Amino acid sequence: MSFLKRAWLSITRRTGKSLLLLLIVLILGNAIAGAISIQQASANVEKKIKSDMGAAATIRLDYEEYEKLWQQYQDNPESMPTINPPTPELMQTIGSSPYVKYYDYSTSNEAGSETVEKFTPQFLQEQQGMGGGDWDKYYAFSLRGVQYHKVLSIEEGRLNLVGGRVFTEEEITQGASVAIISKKLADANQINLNDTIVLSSFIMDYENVDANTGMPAVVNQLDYPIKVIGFVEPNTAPKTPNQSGNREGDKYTEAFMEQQTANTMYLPNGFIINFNKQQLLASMEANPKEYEGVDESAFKQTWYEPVYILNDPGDLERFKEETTPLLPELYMVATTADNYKDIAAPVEQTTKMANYILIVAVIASILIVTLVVLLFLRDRKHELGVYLSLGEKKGKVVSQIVAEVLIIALLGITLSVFTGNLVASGLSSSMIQAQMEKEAQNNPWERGMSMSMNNVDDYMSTNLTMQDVVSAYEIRLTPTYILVFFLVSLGTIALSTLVPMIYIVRLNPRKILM
Amino acid sequence: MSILETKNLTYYYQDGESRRYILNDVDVTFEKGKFYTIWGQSGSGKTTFLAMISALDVPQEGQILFNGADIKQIGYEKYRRNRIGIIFQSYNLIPYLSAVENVLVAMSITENPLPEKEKEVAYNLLDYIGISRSKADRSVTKLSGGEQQRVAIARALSTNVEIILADEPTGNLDEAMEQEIVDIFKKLAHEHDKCVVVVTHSKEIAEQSDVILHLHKGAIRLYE
Repeated sequence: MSFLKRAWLSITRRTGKSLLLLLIVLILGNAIAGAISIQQASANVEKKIKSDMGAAATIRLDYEEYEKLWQQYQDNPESMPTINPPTPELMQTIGSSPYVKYYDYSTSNEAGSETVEKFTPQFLQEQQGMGGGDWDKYYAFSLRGVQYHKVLSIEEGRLNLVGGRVFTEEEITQGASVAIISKKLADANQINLNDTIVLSSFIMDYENVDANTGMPAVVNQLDYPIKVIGFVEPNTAPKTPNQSGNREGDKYTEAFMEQQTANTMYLPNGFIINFNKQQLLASMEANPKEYEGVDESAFKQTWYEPVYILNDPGDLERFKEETTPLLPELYMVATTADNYKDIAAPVEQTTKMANYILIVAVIASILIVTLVVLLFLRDRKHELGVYLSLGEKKGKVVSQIVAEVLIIALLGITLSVFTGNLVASGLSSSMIQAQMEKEAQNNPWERGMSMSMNNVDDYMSTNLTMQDVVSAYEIRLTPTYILVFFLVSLGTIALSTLVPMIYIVRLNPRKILM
Repeated sequence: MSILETKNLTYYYQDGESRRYILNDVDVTFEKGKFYTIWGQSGSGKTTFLAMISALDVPQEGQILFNGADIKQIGYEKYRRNRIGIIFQSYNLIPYLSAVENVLVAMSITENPLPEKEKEVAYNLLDYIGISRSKADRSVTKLSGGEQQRVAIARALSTNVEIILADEPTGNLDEAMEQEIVDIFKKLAHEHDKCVVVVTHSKEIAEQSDVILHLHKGAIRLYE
């Protein structure tokens, strides 16, 4: 009769005690299984949502650090250290990282035009007072700089090139006066491919404002003839915040986003740098007082907004870790995954609770199972003494007890896989719901709202909402969950048998039996 | 030729600076085919002596030799497993097993060569000791005290050992049952060439043995 058979007979013939241990394991197993289920579901939702958010990163000023620095020097701002933005060379070095699929860095500005009219969606035209008036003429178009000649948003599929071509590398290098514009803008103004349009930089005198219109006087106008080389259209209709419960508000947002996308023009960075420089020089000339102290050094630094598209959202953290040491002071890497925390609060809170439950359940399980097994062993002291008096190796006596506990535990754990999953499902739904309510009370605007009204070039914000996160949250029986649960539970049970093992090893058969 | 021998066997309790000797320089020799009793009053050290020779406890000084080899060298566990069978006053059977299963436990632990059909051997052994097949399949908790002690004797014999050691084996039994058990011991010694060593405080039992060893004040003497 091997120790395994003895273990089996002990389990089957001491049914009361076996069932009691099974019940204890089942209860504790449910707590552990529930907590692991929630953890797994959260991990899955995080993976899915982060994947849906995309794999983009940018380099930006660390506003918190900047704020600290500013407070430090607020009494003496002149002595505040100069902030050096990342150079194009550094951005290119970062772009050569193996994690990066493609990247671009953009400078930007706004321009007006005497000949091209801003595109205004029908819905906004119908609304009184929604037009920008004369301002529209002066700042009608967003100029977005391009360094990556194939244009990031086209490569990423956010924009479709519906006519013409992308830039050539020479055009980018030379900062040529060429642009890719939206098809809507072209249609609204009957612009054809290879047509030349004129963009203007209007220099205003803000001290000389028309009392009737409220418009500052235009003191200079710099014209830039631009050749239109391509037309683009957004790949999908711009996403609007959903479930805000405000349909009229949604229509406005949708229309504004359509307007913003249609009036964005893509031009080489070099062109926009020159555009900015000429604009600044002319402004300095027109408003010498306002620009007192500003000299040529103002042109040396160009502020770019880099965007790195990575191969895999899973690389974001590693990219961040490897890139951060290369950055100038006060700069940081921001990724799309950073937004996750903002919209996943209910799930994160639930996960935090699940983590606590898991820790408490594991510790409680170790203590309870240890005590129960010890109590059972005290009850079986004579039996253990008999084995030892018969010359049984202590290792085999220990193995018999461990086998008994593990067999019962395995049954309890297997049952807990299913019941724990059900418990987790019910528990997490109510916990998430409660957290949603709490979030809604704390910040009613953000409930169900996107983080920002992003356009096609905005890679860093997301349209995903708390509701999306909660919808993606699903308690499922996955192989990973089952594996993790079995490992944690069996590990817990194994730890619970440590003290009983020591108890057996220290048994003295003479004291027990004689 | 002795099968078991003690040499200068000493066991004491340390009480501060002084020692309280339970066994002091005990030299005894045991042979096969004889029924020995260790006789003495309560507290005379009989059980301690049995615990030493059954390797359930270790002497502070002296040696215990099995067939001339120190049991320390053999290994206490191995010695218990393969060389001796122990019978206790309170039977010490495993309560959730049947009589035959209790015997089979011992048979599975020993490394001594045993016949292939172990269960059949266990039944026969129990039958020889006076436990019928139907009783052999019962849980030991459903057997009388005498029957339980018979199962304990069968368990001790089942491993095919040459030495049977018993600690007050009839202490919980009535007189009639006591005699039956003593008869079994005699039979084991005389018919099966076992060395049977029984610790008892009963003069009646001691008088039925081949050799009485009287334990008194830590010393052991042949009682004649």
